[in-house]
Amino acid sequence: MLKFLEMLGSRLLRFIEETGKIVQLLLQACRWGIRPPYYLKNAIRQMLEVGVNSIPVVLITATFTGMVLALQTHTGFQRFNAESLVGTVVSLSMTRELGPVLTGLIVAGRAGSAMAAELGTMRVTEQIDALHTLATNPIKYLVVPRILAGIVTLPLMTVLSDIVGIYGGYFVSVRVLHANPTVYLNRTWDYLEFTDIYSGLLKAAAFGLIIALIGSYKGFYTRGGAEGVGKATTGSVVISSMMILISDYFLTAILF
Amino acid sequence: MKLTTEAKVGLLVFAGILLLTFMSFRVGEFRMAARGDKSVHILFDSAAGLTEDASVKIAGVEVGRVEKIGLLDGRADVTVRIDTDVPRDTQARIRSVGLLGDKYVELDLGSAPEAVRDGETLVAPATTEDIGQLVGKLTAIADDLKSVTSSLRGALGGTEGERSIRELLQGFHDVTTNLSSVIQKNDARITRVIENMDALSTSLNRTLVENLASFQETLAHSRSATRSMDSIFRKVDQGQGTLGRLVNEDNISDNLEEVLVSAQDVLGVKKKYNTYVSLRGENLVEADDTKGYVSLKLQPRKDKFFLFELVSPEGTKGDRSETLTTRRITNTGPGAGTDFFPTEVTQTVQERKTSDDMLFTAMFGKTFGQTSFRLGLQESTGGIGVDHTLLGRRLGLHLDLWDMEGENSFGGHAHAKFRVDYNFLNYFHINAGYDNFLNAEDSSLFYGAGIRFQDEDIKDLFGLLPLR
Repeated sequence: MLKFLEMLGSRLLRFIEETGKIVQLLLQACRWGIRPPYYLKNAIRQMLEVGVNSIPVVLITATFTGMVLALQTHTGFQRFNAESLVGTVVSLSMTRELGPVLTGLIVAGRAGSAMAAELGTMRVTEQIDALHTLATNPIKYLVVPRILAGIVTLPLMTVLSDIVGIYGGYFVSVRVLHANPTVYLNRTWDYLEFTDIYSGLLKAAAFGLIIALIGSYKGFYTRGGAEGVGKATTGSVVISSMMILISDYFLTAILF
Repeated sequence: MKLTTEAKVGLLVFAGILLLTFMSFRVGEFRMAARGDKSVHILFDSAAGLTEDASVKIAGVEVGRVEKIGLLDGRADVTVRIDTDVPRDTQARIRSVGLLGDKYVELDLGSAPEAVRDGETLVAPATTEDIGQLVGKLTAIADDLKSVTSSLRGALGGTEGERSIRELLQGFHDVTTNLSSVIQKNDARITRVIENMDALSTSLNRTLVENLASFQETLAHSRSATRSMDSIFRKVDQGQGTLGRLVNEDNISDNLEEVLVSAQDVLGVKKKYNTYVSLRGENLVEADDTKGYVSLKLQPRKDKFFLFELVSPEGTKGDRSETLTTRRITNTGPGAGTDFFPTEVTQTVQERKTSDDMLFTAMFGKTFGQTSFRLGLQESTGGIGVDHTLLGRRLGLHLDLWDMEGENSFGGHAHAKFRVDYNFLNYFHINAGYDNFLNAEDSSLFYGAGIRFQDEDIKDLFGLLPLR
């Protein structure tokens, strides 16, 4: 009984401690981020890693999501003769929800884990301590560029996935389900509004921050050699995926 | 060519911004589509289901978008932007694409020569009947039917109802049986009655033959009556007398024609119009007489109406021509010849004609704010009238002038009438006034009461017509 309570208590304490550390890391990154010198080269290298190199997998995911969305909503809407609204549903779902969230999850799996692994290895091989001795702030040198890359590239990739998803749905509706292309495109764009697109992009930026922050945190505070690096990698993917889905709900509820 | 890291990231940023611009443009195009050069207000009774940015179509072709929907005097003020010219008398209505479809504004082009200008207002015609209202009405009808059938079932259904029907039939049977037995018993008496009737008709026949001469005389009389009728018609034809003038004078008949054409306009073309039917009676105090009115008022537009009235004549003593007696007084008393006592006083002969026929009023009216002017036939002669309403249309002041020649009044002046009426409880009104006050001999105070109702049934019936 006592053991159970102890376990519960230590879990809670660890959770609070970890949350505190994450927030602390974010605050430090903010503080160091606005001070020169800026490691722009590092930021661009991270953008390549987080953004450009993730493009193929993001595009494939978005295309097929749009296609399957068209197929599914068509089946549903056919039952009450509203096939013409498939385009509306696909475009609204992609821009408001699926574009940012799926991009976030994919990038969390691909780039977030890489960040945790890279920083974790640097930690266990004491490269981060070496940076300290070289009078280089490791947060400024390692964490800030990653967070910047996440915030900048996620919205850009979300735009790509929105467009690709919408045209994937268009392709399925017009080529496979023989919808009227003009009607489909009219319905797609007529009911879409600026706020739909920009709310999605704002969410994507938030997800970018979450991915980079969690990945950096997990890597930065890695303990226990090669095994610890593996744990950090897994943990970063799990936590950032969960955080994306949870924060997605609250962002949608509060902001839009 | 090997792309550097910077170039790759730059390409991603470039592609992202390009696509974002493209999406914003596609979305923005929809917003900016509502950019017709003309902004026109349309007043609808109801804009239910209509949204901003809804289409405005002519013959199914989009010509603009709804810009704004507001409220003006309890009606929906819909501002639309269109890019074509439409005539002034264009009619707008709200329709929908299919059963669940979006609402849009359909413009039925009119035929007026001048086009609507920027910022002008079109007034939508009668309440548009949409599927929802129709279904509502049908449901109400079905409910009524159901209540009737269920009450019938309550009255006739079940064993009790069956028994009462059987009793009813039994009763009928009893009555017919009794009747036939009565007839059988009184057979002889009935035969006698028939014989009597036979004898009566025989003697009647004999009487007729005996009086054939006087009968022929009567015929001759009626022939002379026909002749005088002939002469009347000839006079009418030549334009003599009121009726003759009415028939022959162009301006009066033109007026009438105008009234009729407008009436046709009203009945032929569907327009929103109110129908009022009213009954009223007036008791003329000094003339010791009563008059009854049945009137029908058609109001095709707020500022225009037609009034039709049947008026019972003054007095019910049959067609007659009354003459005021002429007196000649010769004064031979003391002081005769002075200013106070002239030697001779003569009173001139004055005549008036009254008739037992119903009088007919048909007037065209035009309303300016609270005041209306009427023109047309009043009590079968040409007349004009003014109405003014006060206290939120509850109190009405009416001044009428007809029979301009004074042929139906002693005194020879036109028939003028001033009436005040007060409406209460929607349907009832009381009135009072001074009738024929220009002719001292005939003038009389009067009071009366009446009922008036707006015929909702007729209105609904016409309201259904525009449903296509």
